[in-house]
Amino acid sequence: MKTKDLLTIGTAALGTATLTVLFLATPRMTGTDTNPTTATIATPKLAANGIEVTLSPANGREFKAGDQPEFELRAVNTLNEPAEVAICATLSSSSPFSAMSRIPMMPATLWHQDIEIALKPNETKVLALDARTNLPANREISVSLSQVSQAGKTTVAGNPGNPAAAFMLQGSVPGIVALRFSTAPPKTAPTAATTTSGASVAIAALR
Amino acid sequence: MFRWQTALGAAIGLAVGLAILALTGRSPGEATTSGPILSECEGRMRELVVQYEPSSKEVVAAAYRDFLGALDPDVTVHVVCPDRPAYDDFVSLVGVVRCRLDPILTHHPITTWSRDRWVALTPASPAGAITIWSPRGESAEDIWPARAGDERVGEDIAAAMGSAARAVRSRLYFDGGDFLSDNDNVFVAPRVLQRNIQHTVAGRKDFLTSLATVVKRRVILLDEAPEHHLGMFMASVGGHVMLVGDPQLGKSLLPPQFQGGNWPGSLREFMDLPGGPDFTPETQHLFDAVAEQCTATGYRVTRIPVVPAMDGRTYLTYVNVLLDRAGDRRIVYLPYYRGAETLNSAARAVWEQLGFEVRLVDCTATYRHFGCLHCLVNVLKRS
Repeated sequence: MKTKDLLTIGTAALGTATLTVLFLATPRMTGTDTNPTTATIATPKLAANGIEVTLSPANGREFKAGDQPEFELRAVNTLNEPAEVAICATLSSSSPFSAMSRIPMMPATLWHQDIEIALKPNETKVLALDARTNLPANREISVSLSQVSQAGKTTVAGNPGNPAAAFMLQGSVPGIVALRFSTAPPKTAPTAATTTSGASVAIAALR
Repeated sequence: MFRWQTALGAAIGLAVGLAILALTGRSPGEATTSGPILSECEGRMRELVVQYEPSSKEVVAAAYRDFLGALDPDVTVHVVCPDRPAYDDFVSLVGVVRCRLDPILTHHPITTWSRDRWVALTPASPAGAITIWSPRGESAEDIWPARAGDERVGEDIAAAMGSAARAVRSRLYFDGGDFLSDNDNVFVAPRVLQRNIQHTVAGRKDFLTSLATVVKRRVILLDEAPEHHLGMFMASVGGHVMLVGDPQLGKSLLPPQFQGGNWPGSLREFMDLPGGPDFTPETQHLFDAVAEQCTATGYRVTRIPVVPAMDGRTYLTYVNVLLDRAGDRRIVYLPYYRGAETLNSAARAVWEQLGFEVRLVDCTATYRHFGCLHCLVNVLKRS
């Protein structure tokens, strides 16, 4: 074996050993419970009674403090028969109590609307929703969709600040947070999960 | 051109690298595996983590002083601070302690609440690394710069601890305080499902499966619960015994001037609780629902006084504790609140009846910020 061979072996061994240790021993963020960087679900969807309901900002608009938000609610009957569902859309805001508080204050309801939807077989309807309220500045804003049960009460946390609604009972249709964004001054577009750029933004803003 | 010399060298290098990892107590398989979630009620506390930010000095000073001052010398407390002056401030704040303090400097803003930042997963093997399991993101980080910094704390700790710990980012959104674990079960706040459903998971079943895969214990998702972290209203003390807060019990222990309906003004002033105490049937129902579900799960439930405020966030709670063992002795680090002596005494009696040695921690300045002792301290390792 020549000196050149030994040099090559030594160099390769050193490089491989270094890479092995660095790769396997360096503490790092890994995603063992699937890749966290991608959205699993691009468009949050409330499914009840065979009807799938999604929500997006009207005309893909980006909301900021002071705006009166308008939304498009899209309902799709996935059944080959007529279907109907009663849902509640709730616009909420929350903010830190102070920089020292552990968690944000309880969300405050800014607006909510009950909507009854009746669809023919495989029909799709798009409804306009006007929140008629001005978005406060420096708040986390969320829009929840939940089914209104036969008892006339939302089955899930349309407003997490309402103890009577803050549950997700087994067997009920869980509500969803359809949109979430902030009204912090410089950044954060509205997180319509259905907009072109929405998928990643929606997840970035979902907390 | 690839030659035999290169292949031989690579093989030797791989063998040497693996040997180094084995000698340092790390194996390649551990890069993707971990053991069960750390129990909050079993074993002796060995390594803890607190966060300290000087602007919160008044909030945490008494609690840290009491708690750290009671720890033994064989306990290590990792102190996460934004910079060295903050750590120096912390050291002067807590005074003389017997436990070992270990600074971890982040060089970015943080809050002072450690519990919610991550959850400790035990090593998959005795020589393995602890997994610091962080949520996908933090609440309100867009409007809260310190909270955005909190998101990086899991990585900061793992980097500081070398091969003893590794940081893992979850696909799920959660706060550490949304979980309560013992040796058998992990209780989960309903709001975690709410944060994830139709975003990171399709539905309830996916959520439970995904969570159980990581925590490696039975997952019990609470159906109904107060809208807060679990440590504010329940504590598993081991042996399938669960303490659950009871507002009515709290109400019965208020000083006479706050009892009854003739003193609404006074009641509102009790302990400076925002909006006054919340003894409404709706809130009582949520606490009772937790107790009922624990009973249905096979736990023996003991009720303990709690006084929640009308803001839904501020609690005078006696389950926001840290549990420890010293041989056969079971120890509870129990919050107390100056001005609520009757409640304090009643809560202490409950813990003592369960066989715990009580070490009191002054949380008078802490509870107004929506958290307490358990929320300030995270546990990395128990023996």
